[in-house]
Formats: sequence, C-alpha cells, structure tokens
Amino acid sequence: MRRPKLAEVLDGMVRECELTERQRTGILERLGPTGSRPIAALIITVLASFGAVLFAMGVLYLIGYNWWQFSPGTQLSIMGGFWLGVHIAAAMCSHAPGRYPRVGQALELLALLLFIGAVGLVAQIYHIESEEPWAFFAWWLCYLPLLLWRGTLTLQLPLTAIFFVWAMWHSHEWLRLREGMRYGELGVFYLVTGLGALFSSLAVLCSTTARARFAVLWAPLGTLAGFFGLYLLSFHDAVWLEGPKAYRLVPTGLAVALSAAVLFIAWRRKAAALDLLEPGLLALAALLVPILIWSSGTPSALVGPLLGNLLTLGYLIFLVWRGLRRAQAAELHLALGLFALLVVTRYLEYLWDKLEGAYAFLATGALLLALGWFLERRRRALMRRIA
Amino acid sequence: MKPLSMYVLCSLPGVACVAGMVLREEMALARGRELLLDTRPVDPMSLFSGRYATVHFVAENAPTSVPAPDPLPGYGSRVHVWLRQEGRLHVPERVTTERPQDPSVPFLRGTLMYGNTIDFDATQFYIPHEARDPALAERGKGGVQARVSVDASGRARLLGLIVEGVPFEQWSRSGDQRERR
Repeated sequence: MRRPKLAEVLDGMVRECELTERQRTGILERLGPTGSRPIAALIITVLASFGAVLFAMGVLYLIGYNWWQFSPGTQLSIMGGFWLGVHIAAAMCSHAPGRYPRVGQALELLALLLFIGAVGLVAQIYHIESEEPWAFFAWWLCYLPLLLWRGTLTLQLPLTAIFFVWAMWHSHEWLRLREGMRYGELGVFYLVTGLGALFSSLAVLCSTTARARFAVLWAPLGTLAGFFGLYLLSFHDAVWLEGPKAYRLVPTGLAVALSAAVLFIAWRRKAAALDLLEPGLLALAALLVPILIWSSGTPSALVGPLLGNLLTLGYLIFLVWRGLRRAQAAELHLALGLFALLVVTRYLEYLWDKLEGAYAFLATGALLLALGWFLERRRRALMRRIA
Repeated sequence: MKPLSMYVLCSLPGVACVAGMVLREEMALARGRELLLDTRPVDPMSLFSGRYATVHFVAENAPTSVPAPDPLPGYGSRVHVWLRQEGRLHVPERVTTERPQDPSVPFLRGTLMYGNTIDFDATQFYIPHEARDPALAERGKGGVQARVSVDASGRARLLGLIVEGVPFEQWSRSGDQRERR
C-alpha cells in the first residue's frame, strides 16, 4: 500500500478513535522518510477552502444589503436554516459512507465563517451595538470545540487568526479607554511578544499530546510573533515616557501568565528542555522591557529602543544557536533574514532622521540599487563556478 | 461517542450563541419601557452587518451639560443618566454613579469614555442599502429622534428613528417618491 493511502487510512482510524494521534505518528515514522507528498489532496483542500471563503464573502455581502423586503423573521429563518444546513453537509461529507473529507473540511470552514454573518444579521435586526472584540472572542470560543475534535488546518488557521485579532483588538480598546489612542497603540506592541510566547508554549504542549500537528502552525507563528514584538519595541517611538502605571502591563501580563501555565503543563509532560527555552525567553522579554524602562528612574527615550534592539539581537542569536543544535537550515536562514531586516530598518531609521524628505528617498534608492548590483555580481560568480 | 453525535455537540456552542442573542433581545424588548430621545445621526458602514446610522444621543454629553459627580469617576466606569420628560422627549436631568431608587424615574445606563462622554451601547441603527441617509434630515423640520426601549437595568435598545416627525421607513420612502417625480 502506498504511503499517502496508508496515511489516509490512519487518519480515518484516528477520527474513529481507533488509534491515538501519537500511535499514528509512530507508525508513519517507522515507515521511514516520506516519499511522494499527497499534493493532489492538498490542492483539493486549498481549492475547496478558497471556494468556502468566497461563498462566505458573498453571504456577508448579501447581509450587508439589509433587505427590508424580507421580514426580520424570514431573514433569520433563511440564515439560520442555511447555516445549520452547512453544518449538516460538513458532517455528512466528513463522516457518511463514501465521504468527501476535504470538501467536508471546506464546509466546516464555511460554517465557521458564516457564524459572524449570523451574528451580524442578528445585530442588524435588533440594532445591537457592534462589540467587535467580544464578538471575535465568542466566534473563537464557539468553534474551539470543533477544532479540538477535528484538528484540521482549515479550522486551526482561521481560528488562530481570530484569536490573535481578538487579543490585539481587545487590548487596544481596553488601553484606549484609559489613556487615549496613542497609548492604546503602544500598549499592544508589548502584547505581540507575549502572544508569541503563548503560541510557542502551546506548540510545545501540543507536541507532547495527541494533537502534535497543531505545532506545525503554532511553532513558527510563536517565533515570528516573538521576533516582531521585540522588533516593534526597537523603534525609537515605541516607548512610554510617562511614569509606570501597572494596568498598562495587564494584557501582556495575562498572555505571559497563560504562557507560563501552559509551559508548566508541558514541562510536567516531559517536553524537551530545548523546546521549553524559546517560550520561556519570550515570556521574560515581553515583561522585561517595560519593567526595566520604568525601574530606570527617569524614563528616557533611549532606554526603550536600546533594550528593544538588544533583546531582538539576543533572540536572533538564540534562534541561530537552536538551529545549529537541531541542525535545521530553515531556522538559520530565518534568523539571518530577520537579522538583515533589523539592520536595514535601523539604517533607514537613522537615514530618515538625518536626511529628510527627498534626500532620504535618494539615499535609500541608491542603497537598494547598490545592493541589487552586488547580488547580481555574486549570482554571476556563482553561476560561473557551477558551469 | 459516534462521530455525528460528536459533530453536533461541537457545533452546538455557536448555534446556541446566536439563538441566545435573539432570545435575549426579544425578552428585553418585551419587558422594556419606550422613550423618545433627541439624536444626531451620522452614516458609516460595518464590514459584517452593512450600512447603519450612528445615533449620537444628546444625553451622551450629559456629564458636561447637567449636574454630575465632581470629580467624575474614572474612564470605563458605569454611570447612570436620569431623565425627565419635556414634551414628547426625554432629556437628561443629572448624572450619577448609582441608579435611581425610585423605579418610576427613567434613566439610561452607560460607560464614561475618554473625553467625558457616555457610551450607551445603542448607537447603531441599521438601514437598508438603498435607504435615504437620516443624517440629511433638517433640524428645522423636526430633526431626528430615537425610539428606545429601556430595561430595568437602564440599558437602551434602539427600536426606530423618527425623522422630520415621521418614522424613518416612511421618511425614506417619501424621499424616494419625491426623487422619482
């Protein structure tokens, strides 16, 4: 039996609860390195999921028209019936005999997207104030059980995005209510690293459970969110110059506390020490910058960016070290790419301060042209060597 | 548990959430008390639920226009605007942090926002895509008032708009007919 076919059978057995995820992974590992990848299956999933997204956009568009030719009862019946119908169709495609699991996954995605359409319709009929951050939280929470049971990427990806958006948006609104727009924006900078720590810890925890496949998305997401959180703090604008106010750290503190709890469970489940290191460092960094700025006595515009840059560099060095330990070229390439981004950003930031307006554009353009010339020269030399 | 039963169980929270919203609104409307408030609408758009008019109640500025606690509580605090009837309209009388003890006193519950305004959580009046914009109503002809249903906790829910003295739907249709002529 070919490996993709066997993997599909094993997937079915996992869904029927005849095998655990760990047993499935173990069997596939014993079969040795992967041969041909089930590209056709992937294409079908992507195609059908794209169709689901387009369909959901169409439904939202129709709701946006607010047709008053239909009575509110009729509108609710049509939407509710259709939404339930999509759920039933998804279940039938996934589980009925002679099933279509990939179309079933796409229909699950459609059902997930239609939830916000149904909420929007109810809000429209009853003139309910849009409480978007809470609506996003409810959206995520309502479909979390389906994700935990099904464990598919078509649900994990949008639900992760919804959670991320909710956490950022809600924190922004919460801080804005207390401090006004600007501080609300700065406050969420600190949260990005906290969320990086959270996703990174979740990835470590998942790798010790039957849902190891969740780590495929959450591990790189944790790394990128961790980096970009610190990267945002490395700009010279990203510092609160006023004195310490403990509530500013509440959103980040919550993310870090949650991450610590997840890490503790992962540690109890015997996760590898090397895996635990990244979320631990990110959680520490998320709280370190604001605490050090405020404990430095007179807050200065220099302390924040300096710390931000040092921590970003430290994190990149950690990624290189871990990449070498794991012998993962992809991680090394990522760290080098992010380092290049950091250097170019600092260069441009400095340039913008020194040369305003047209001169800054001229200097940046000249730099990129010189970089292009250098890369082309290197490429030509490499091609000559290969020939 | 069978996969289909499991599927139903996992999909239940979402369905229950939407059904719960409908039930909550229906119950609140059935038990609420109807008031008429002066408003100034503007016309934005929501990504998920379409076109609506943002209804700014005159009572939103109550902390600076009628007696209020001095100093005002912190931003994000719950406040109550006591109302009194003037003709057909209910207008703000005072702002307090506690709700009135007398159940016959009409009041609105809100949240104190940055800039000392009050958010009443009832500012979006959804209007059809092709309807006339209520923000264009002329104040000289009667302006715009909001019909709200207020429950026992003081939470307001929008029922409709009275534009230039007539219900919004009628005002919008009469405008269409005038344009056609």
